[in-house]
Amino acid sequence: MARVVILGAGISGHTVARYLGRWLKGSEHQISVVSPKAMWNWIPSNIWVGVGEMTKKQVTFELDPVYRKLGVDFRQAKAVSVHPDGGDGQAKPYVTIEYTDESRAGQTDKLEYDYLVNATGPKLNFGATPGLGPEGGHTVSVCTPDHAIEANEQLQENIAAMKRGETRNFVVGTGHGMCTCQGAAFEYIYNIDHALRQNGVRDKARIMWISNEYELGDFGMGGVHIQRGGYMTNGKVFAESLMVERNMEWITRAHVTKVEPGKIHYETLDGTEAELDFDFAMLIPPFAGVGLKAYGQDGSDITDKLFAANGMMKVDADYTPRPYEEWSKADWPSTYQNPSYKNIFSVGIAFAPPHPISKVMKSPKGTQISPTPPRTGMPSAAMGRAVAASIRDMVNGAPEPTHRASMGETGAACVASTGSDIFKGTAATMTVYPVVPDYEKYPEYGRDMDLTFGEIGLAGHWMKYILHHVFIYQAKLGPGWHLLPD
Amino acid sequence: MTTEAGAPSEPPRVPVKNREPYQQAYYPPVPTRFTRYFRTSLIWQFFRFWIINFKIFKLLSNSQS
Repeated sequence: MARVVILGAGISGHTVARYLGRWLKGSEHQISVVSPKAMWNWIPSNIWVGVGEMTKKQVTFELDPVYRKLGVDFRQAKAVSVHPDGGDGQAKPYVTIEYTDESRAGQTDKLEYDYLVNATGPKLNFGATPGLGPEGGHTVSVCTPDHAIEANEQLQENIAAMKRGETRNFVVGTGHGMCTCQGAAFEYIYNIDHALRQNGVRDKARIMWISNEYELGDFGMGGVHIQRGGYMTNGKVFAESLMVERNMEWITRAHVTKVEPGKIHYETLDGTEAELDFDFAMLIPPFAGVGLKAYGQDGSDITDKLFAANGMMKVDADYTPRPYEEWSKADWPSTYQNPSYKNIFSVGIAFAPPHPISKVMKSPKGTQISPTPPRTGMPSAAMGRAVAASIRDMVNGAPEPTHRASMGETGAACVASTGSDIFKGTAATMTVYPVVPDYEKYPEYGRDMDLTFGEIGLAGHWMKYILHHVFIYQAKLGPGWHLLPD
Repeated sequence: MTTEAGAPSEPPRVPVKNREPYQQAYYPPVPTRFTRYFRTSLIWQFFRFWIINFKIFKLLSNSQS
């Protein structure tokens, strides 16, 4: 009998759990999922919670009943440490966890494992920028449903003030020079614009975008080329056009250094230090590892053996430092297996990427101002499914991982809402294939131009809305869920 | 049209945007009414919906192969 422990129940962790649960159901093997939150959250729809178009209930559901359907053991707890060689009286590898549910809050436990999947996702590192974030800071966030609810409350207060005739400055973007997930902020800024127009107060607002991208539309993927209007054009044109059409302004190449009430301080790549006034600001925080520690059998700290300096787990990537021009898709992991411990895998944001996809740039002061690679959404699900299939085969005797999902060989589709309305709404649908450019196979643009495209329209909004329901249905394990695409 | 001596002349009717050329908003393409209409045209978007779905399905197939 093998025991599989999955740390985290976000998109990637839940994908591993539902496929493994289905494939190993009825067998002697056991699966445990450890997640500090009782609820699953369809994160893309938090954007709509942030403008009052959806409620928390519409974007979340309880995990425990879903896992009971599959016979998966659910622990509402946070992982504290990994002991891959056992120790402290345990012969087998184990993880220590600390319960977070009300009845057992603070209690600790040890979970032995034969296979461990680290899918803890990111720590929202608001602390990296003084004054950033909703908890003790001066900006809001849409990273969790509760953050999004707070963002909407502030948004509605500002709308009410504008209805009284006041003017307001809205700033949306990234709150640090090394953020990823620009897409979420990109989506949110358009939904704010849409909400202001619906309330008839758009003329009272100045809407500003601030981000660490070298150019708009970089999204941490080094930008993207698409065919448009008879030209092969860059995503920058696509993104700038969307902003100009809606009378928005933008600041790129910016690292937010500090946020004070009503004032954002930032530094740009050319060394300029400036300030930006705001009444409402939603800035995405940088991501870090969740702070898991690792210990050897003798209790020695072996955290650096399992984790990179940023707290993310090392997998089968090539971490050799190289100049930008020498990076290739071959550096990217495909099995997500830890090189030191073959029974440990890491998926989603929890794995350490070998290098950024966007070129690393630094200001004259030495501040890195360039996006880190995105690993959310479709790539997260693809790697989760591949790891689940590999573990299924390994518990049945395969000597090594059998499935691969390199970001250099998989694509991503992103449907970014630019206003929710069944008849007048729109969304920007963007796809890239592959996510990590492959200049050997596609020498000109690094991507397959047939599968890489961008389009704005109502159809995108319908897709976004349908995907919301389809993915929640799938995550709740509705009948036939496994037939739906991930 | 004549202007009385000493009276201020009427300012030229030029959109303010053009007073400050080469600003951010000067360079990117701005969709025409035609383009904006088709972005929310129910018939056109119905077709686009299926085309986009097909393209994403193709992307998924390629990713999984």
